Amino acid sequence: MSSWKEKPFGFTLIFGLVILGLVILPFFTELYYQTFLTELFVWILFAISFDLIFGYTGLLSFGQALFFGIGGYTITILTRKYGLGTEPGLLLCILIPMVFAWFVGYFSVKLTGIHFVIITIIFAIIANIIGDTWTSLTGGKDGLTFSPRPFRLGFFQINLMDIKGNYYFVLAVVALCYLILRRIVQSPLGKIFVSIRENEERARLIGYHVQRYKLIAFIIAGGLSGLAGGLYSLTLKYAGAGYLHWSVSGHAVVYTIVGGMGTLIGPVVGTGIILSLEHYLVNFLQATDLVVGIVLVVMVLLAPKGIVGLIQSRRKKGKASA
Amino acid sequence: MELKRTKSTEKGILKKEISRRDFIKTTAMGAAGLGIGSWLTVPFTYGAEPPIRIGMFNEYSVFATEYGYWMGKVAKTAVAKMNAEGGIAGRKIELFDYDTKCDPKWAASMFRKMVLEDKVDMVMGSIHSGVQKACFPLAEEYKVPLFSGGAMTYEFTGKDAIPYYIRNHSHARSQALAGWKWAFDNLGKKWTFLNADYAWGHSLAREFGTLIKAAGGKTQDIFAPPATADFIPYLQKVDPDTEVLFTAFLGTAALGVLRQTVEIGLHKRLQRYTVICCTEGIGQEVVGKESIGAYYIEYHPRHLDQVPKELHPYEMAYRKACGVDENGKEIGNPKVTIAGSHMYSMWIYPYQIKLAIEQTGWKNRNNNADMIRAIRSQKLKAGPWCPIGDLVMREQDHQGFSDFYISKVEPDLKLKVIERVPKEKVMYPPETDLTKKI
Amino acid sequence: MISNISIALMNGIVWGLIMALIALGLNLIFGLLHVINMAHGALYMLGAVAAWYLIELTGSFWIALIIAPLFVGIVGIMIERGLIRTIEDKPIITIICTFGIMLVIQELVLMIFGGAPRRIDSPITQRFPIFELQYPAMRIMIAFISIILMSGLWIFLKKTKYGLWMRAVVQDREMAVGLGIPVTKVYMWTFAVGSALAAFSGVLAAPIVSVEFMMGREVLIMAFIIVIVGGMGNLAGSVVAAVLISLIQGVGSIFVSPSMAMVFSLAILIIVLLVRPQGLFGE
Repeated sequence: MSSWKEKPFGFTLIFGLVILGLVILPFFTELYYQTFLTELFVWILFAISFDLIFGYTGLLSFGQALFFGIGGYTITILTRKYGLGTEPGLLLCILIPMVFAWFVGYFSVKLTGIHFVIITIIFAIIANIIGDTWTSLTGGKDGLTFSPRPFRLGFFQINLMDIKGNYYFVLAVVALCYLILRRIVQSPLGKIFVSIRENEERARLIGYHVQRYKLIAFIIAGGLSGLAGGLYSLTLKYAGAGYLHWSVSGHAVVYTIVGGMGTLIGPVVGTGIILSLEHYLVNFLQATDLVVGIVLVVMVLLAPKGIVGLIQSRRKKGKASA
Repeated sequence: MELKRTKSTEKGILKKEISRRDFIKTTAMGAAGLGIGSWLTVPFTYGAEPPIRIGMFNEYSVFATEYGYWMGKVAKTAVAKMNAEGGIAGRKIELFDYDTKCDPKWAASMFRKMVLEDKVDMVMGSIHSGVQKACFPLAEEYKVPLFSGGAMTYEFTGKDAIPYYIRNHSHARSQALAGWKWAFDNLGKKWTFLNADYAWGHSLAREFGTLIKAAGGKTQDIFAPPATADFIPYLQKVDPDTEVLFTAFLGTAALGVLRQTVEIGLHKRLQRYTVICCTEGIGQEVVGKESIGAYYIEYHPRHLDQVPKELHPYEMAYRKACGVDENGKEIGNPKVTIAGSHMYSMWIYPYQIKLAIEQTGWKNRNNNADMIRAIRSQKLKAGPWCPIGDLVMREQDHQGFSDFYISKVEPDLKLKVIERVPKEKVMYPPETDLTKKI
Repeated sequence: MISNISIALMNGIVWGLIMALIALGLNLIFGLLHVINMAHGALYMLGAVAAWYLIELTGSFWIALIIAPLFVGIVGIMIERGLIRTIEDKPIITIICTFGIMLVIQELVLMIFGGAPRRIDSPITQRFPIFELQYPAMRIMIAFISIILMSGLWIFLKKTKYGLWMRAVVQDREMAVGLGIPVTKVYMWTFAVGSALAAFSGVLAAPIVSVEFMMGREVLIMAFIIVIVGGMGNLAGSVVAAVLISLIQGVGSIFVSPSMAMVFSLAILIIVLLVRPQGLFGE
C-alpha cells in the first residue's frame, strides 16, 4: 500500500489498465466467464467493504452477512412488491443496510476483541432466524425471485437481464466503490481508523472519540456490503434467507485473510484466487470446502498478512538489501 | 437485446466451437470409447451429431447427502443404460454433474456454469427447494428446462410456477391429499403436528391440517427448530387427547423425534405418522426399533415385495441396474439404504426427455419450448423406464402424478405397505395455466 | 401440567449438564490460551463419529466412551502443536485458523464417514414413569457421567500439579513463566483436555441425537452462548449457565414458539454482553 501511495500516478496507470482490460474482455470470452466475473466483482465489493472494518479498523465482524442479506432483500422486495425502479432500489440497497448498520454498530462498537466478534455473529443469527421464519416477507429458505427493470443512466440504456449489460454495470459500480474506499482509507479519516487498529488506547488519549469512528467505519462498510448484496440479487434475480447466514460473512473473512488484510488490493486478490480455485476444482472434485479450509489454515500460519502482505515484505526486504 | 443474447449463446453451440477443455474431454472420451468399444464390439455407432448434454446438480455435501448420493447414482445409471441402448435419436447423452452445497447462491452459479460453459440443453436434480427457486430466473432467462429432483414446495407448480420447470414427483400438497384420508379414518381424528419450524414443516402442517379440520377433526401445531437435538420440551406439549402425532424433520432431527417419542412413552398412547422424506435414505435399522408401529407415506415402496405385483418385472430390472437389492439396500454395501421414494424421478426424466425429443424432432436448445410442450402432456405407462407405475403429467402446471403408498413399520423393521392410494385421488385442480405462456 | 413442568425441569438439568461439558472444554481452552476454538463443534462431532466406529468394532458403548475422547484428545494435541502454537498470541487470527480447521474436519468426515446420519444405540433402554409420561433412564445416566467428569476435572485442577500450573497460567502468565512453569506444555495439555471434553459430550449425546458430520454446528453456537453468559474463563459459571439456559429453554418452550424464543434469548444475550461482558457470574 505504502509504495503505491508514494506513486499515485503508478496506481492510476495500473487501475486504468486493469479496468480497460476488463472492459474489453467480454469481446474475447465466453458468456460463462462474464457471469463468473460479474459474481467475482460482487464478492470483491463485499470483501473490500469488510476490509475497511477488519483490515483498517481492526474489528472482526461476522455480521456483514446481515447487511449483505438486507441489501439483497431490499432490491428484491421493493421491485417485486412495489414495482420500484432499479436505480432508486440500488440507492436504498445502500441506505437501508446503513440504517441497520447504525443500529447494530451502535451496540457492537461498545465491545472489543472477541466480544465484538460474538455480538456481530448473534445479530446475524437473529436476522437469519427472522429471515427463515417470516416467510410472507422473505420467502424463507426458498427465497424470492424478481425481474429487474431496464433503466437509463446518462447515455447508457442498461438492461440487467442481459449478461453483458450486467457485467459492465457491476464492474462500473465496484470500480467506483473501490476508488471511494481507497480515497477513504487514504484520507485523515482512514488514518484515524488505522490508529484505532494499532492502538486503541493511544487513539483515545490523543483525543479521538474511538467509538464514534468505529461506528462510522461500521456504517460505511455496512452500506457497501448492502450494495454488494443488492448487486448480487440483481445478478441472480433472486434473494433468499441464506444470504443472511453468518457463514456468508465467513466468505469475506476468508478472501481478506488469504489476500492480505488492510491493503484493499489484498481482498481483491484473495477473492479472485479463492473463487477461481473453487470454480476450477468443482470440475473434478466434490469437496471444494476442504481445499478452501486447507488454504485458509496454511495462509494463516505461513503468511498471516496474506499474499499481498507477503509480496510487500519481500519487496521491502529486497529494497533493504539493495 | 434479449434476442441477440440468446443468439450469441446458441452460436457457440452451433459452430461447435471446440475449446481446449472440450477437446481434451472429447479426445479422452474417444480413446475410452475406442477401448470399451473394441472390447464390447460396439452395438451401434453414434451419428456425426453432437451429444445431447444434460446438466445435473444434487446435494453431495452439507445436508441431505443421502439423497444426493442416490439421485446422482440413478441418473448416471439411467444415462449409461440409455446410451448403451442407442442414445436419443442416435445421439449420445452426456451428463454434467455438480454439487449444490445446499446453497442457492452456489447452485445458481453452477446452473450458469452448466448452461453457459458446459452448454447443457437442460438441467435436472436437487431436492433443495431454495436451490430450485434460485434457478427459476436463470431457467427462464436461458430457456433451459429445469427438472425438479425432489423439491417439495407445492407452489413451484402452483402460483409460483414458471414454464421451464417440470416436476414428475410428489410435493407437500399431493402428500397431504394422499395421506390424510386413510389416516383420518383409521388412526384418529385428533392430530398434533410436530414439524420443523420453516417453510416445509409449515406447509405440511397447513396442507394436512386444512383437510383434517374440513372433515371435522381437531389439530394442534407445534414447531421446533429444524436441527432440534432434544425433543422432550416439545413432545411434552402434545395434547393429552391427541390420537395421531404427525412429525416432519430431516436428518438427525428426524431420527431424534421418533426415538424420543418412545423414550417418553408417547408411542403407547397415540399413533405416529410421517412422510418418508424424513428418513429417506436412512435404513430403518438406523432409525431404530423405536420406529416400530409408526406409519409412513411412501411415494414408491422401499422393499421389492411391497411393490405391486404388476410392476415387479420393471422394478427388478430397475433395481438391478442401480445396484439395489430387494430390501432397498445397496448391493455390496448393506449399510447404505436407497432414497427409493425420490430417486425414481432421475430415472424417469431421461426417458421423458427421450420421448419428447423423438416426438418433436428436437435438435438443440432452440427447440426447448417444443420439448416442454411434449413432456407436459405425456401419459407414461408402467414400463422399464417408468417402474413406479403409470405417471400422468398435467399440462397446466407441469406437475406429474403417480400412486402413493401408506406403510407401517413392522416389528422386523420392514416398511409394509398397507394401502395404495391411486393417483386420481391426489389430483387437485391446477392453480395456474402455463399453456398460455409457452 | 405438573407432569409437563416436572419433566421440563428434569430434562433441563440433564440436557444442561451435557451442554455444560461441551461449554467447559471451550471455556477451558479460552481461559488459558485465549483461543476461541471454532473447531470445537467439529471435535464434538469427531468424538461421536469415532465412537460409532469403535462400537461397530467392539460392540461396547462404554469402551467407546473411553477411547473416543482419548483419540480426539490426541487430535487436539496435534492441532495445538502443529497449528495453533505459532499464532497463540493473536486471538483474532486463531478464530480464523480454527474456522479453517472446522471446515477441514467436517469435509474429511463427510468423505470417510459419509453424509447420512448413523445411529448409536443407547446401552440402557429402561424408562421410569413421571406422572402419565415416562423418562429415559439413559439420560439420567448421562447426567450422572457428566457430573463424574466434571468432578474429575475439578479434582484435576485443584489437586494435581498440572491443575495447579493451569490455574497459575490463567491468573498471571508472566509470573507463571517466571516461576518456571512449562507454559507451552500446559497449553498443549489444556487443548487436549478441552478437546477430549468435547468428544465426551459427543459420545454421550450420540444415543440421543444420532451421529452426523454436521452435528457440531448448532452445538457450537449454543456452547458459545453458555460460555458468554457464564463468563469467559469462568468454569463454574459455565456449568451454572448451561443448566440455567436449558431450564429456561425447556420451560419457555411450553409457552412460546421456538424460533421466537431463540430470537428472544439471543436478544437477552446481547444485553448480557453489553451490560456484563464478563458474564453473569463473573466477578
